[in-house]
Amino acid sequence: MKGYRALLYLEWRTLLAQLRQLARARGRLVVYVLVIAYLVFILSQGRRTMPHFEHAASVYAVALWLLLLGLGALGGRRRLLARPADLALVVPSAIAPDRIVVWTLLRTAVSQLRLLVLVAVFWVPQMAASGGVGWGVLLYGVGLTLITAMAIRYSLLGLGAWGPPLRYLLLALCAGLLLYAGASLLRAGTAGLATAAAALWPLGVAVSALHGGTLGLIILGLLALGALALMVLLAQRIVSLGVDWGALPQLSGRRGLAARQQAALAAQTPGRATRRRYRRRDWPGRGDFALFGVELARLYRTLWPLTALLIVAAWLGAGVVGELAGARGVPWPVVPAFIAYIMVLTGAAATSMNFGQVLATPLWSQTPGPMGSKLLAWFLPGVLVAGIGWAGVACGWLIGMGQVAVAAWSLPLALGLMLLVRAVGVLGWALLPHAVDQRSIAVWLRFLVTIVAVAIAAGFFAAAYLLAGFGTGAVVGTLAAVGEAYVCLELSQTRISSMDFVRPSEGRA
Amino acid sequence: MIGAVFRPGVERKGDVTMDGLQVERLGKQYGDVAAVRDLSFAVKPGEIVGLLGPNGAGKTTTLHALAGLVHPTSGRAYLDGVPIERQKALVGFVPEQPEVFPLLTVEEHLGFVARAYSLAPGWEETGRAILRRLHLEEVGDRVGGALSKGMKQKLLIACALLHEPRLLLVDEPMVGLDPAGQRELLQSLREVRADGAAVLLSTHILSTAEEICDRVVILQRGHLIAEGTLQEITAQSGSLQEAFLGLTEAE
Repeated sequence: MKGYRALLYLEWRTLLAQLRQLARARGRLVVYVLVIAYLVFILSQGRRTMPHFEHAASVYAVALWLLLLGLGALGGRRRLLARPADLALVVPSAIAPDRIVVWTLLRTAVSQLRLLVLVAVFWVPQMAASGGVGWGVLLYGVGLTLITAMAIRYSLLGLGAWGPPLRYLLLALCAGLLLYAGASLLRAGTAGLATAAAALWPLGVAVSALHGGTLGLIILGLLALGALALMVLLAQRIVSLGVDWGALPQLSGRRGLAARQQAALAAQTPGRATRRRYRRRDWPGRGDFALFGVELARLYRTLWPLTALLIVAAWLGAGVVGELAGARGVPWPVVPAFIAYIMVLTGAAATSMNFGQVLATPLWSQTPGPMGSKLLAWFLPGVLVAGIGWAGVACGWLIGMGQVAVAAWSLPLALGLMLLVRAVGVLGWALLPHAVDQRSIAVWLRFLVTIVAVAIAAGFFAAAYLLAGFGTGAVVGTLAAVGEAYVCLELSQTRISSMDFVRPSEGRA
Repeated sequence: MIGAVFRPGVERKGDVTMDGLQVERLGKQYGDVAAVRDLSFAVKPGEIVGLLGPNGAGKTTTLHALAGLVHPTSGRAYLDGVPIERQKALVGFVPEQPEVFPLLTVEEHLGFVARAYSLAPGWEETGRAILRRLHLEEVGDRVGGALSKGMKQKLLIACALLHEPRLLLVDEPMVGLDPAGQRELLQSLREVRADGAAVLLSTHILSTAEEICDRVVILQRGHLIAEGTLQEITAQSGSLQEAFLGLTEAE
């Protein structure tokens, strides 16, 4: 226990310092109180039980459960996560390496659990609106899913050479389950989506757990406990395999070996396509919009051609599935609604966590123009890529179902919503730029503001849709989203312009 | 070229003492890049050895491997005849980048180290003495995030000295320190040496090596190109700088 005693001391003192810091900052304290009050209100609303679980939301929830589990487990890497100070003080210390591994893994799992509240903010109102499932059951299920995913991820590390094939096997299993579930749900048609889901394993377990079914809850709990036990058992093996702790370049000043690795990379003979890709210099964006070209170049070089081809394949696949589903009477809004849900969820989760580091690069201070233009120039390429990627799948589905006009109107609406989500993300960072907040309360705040902002745009869309049809609704909804994004950017600009970025590493994320 | 001390790839297993640090054919590979190759050298108790080399020579990787931050691809290292990974309680490490816990005070950093190394009661007095020597006593209640770069460096040095290590690994210690801090650090290293510990010091600053090191090990592209006392290394060229440039540019 002596190693764990020191690590507990570290965590306890850090927690106390965080609380002291929070108590001294009244502005942050007010935000914390507001968010917690909102959560308490929402959770108290979700206590009703639902007599009928015959709702698409349950299928969405189960699909998300599978995604969480699969993506979490698939992220297993040889390199463990560690903070720079851990590398300086904890890893080289006398604490046994396997204990440091277990501590690192559990701490990562705990930080993942913070997302639980984030997910609850999104799910609980939805569940409450549809009659609601017990929120305690919901939190239990999602929490265990996150823990299980993390534990599986790191257990795979301990399996050493079997790791990569196991990951591919897991990937194939997840893909197979999703395809099987999708095919079964499509076969079931509009009636009995939840019934079909409940009949499938492991969908059935998740649905049972969401219902508060004892067996489902027990299975989820056992799964999590087993995965955790496996992880702890394999900790020593992870160490013996040779752990390369993360963030090592930060201890060597990003020189030396890092420079040699870059030189080695540069010395490699790239393929013709790669050379052509890197040779390109004429990126759009001058003056205020120079950052647009920089970001576009980054996305182009990381996404082209493999990811781009996969996206196009997903569009075509969605078209084929849409045509099949249309023939079986599946209503067209099912998939676009789910995609919009995921798009907003992932967009809100991925935005601005490390925005302070981005802003601290000389590129930002040296680029001319007002901060608002630079902010827009920086995240517009990401909006375009993510918006087109997600919306393309929805459009493929809609075109497959013969809803060409709806598909055409949906594209600008999707881009407007993505712009809004990113703008809210930047505003969330501008309001609470501190690193500690960015890993906790700022995430919740960002989700809350995103919900409200998207709901306002959706309200405009719905009103115009009911009065004058889908096209008018899409235009009005897009304009509302862009208008809200503009307001968010203006507010962000005001806040960020007054900030000092000389020493971002000592506070801002 | 210094023939007497130029010994690339020499296996040293047979001619070693069992005290101090013994590195035997250490290697670390990152993909296709060999950061360290077949590296062997020793640091005796009560000796300061300078680890010299140009950027990318493998100095930091060597220290990271000895400190347990990276897993060597090949070779072993021993401290007092025992594999170094089983002697962590006897090793102190000061990294190049002064990364500390931003929310912990200076004293809490020492408190963590004391618990991590299971130090006997009374460590507080030792800690205070170290802080006093490094002029950190007045900032004992200040959090890590509020310290200057030089103070952070001193704090990491204090943490590395608190448990009185038998081997001290120091990576580019002068970076960020003011002249007074540099003098205090060198004095501290001399005291550690006087206490009988082995010190392995990586540095770019040749004047520092000349001032404090008993011997130097020069690396180039991950392998050892020269090793010896300052007198041996500078015998032909007259100065460490000339010898260093002559050796590294000849490779």
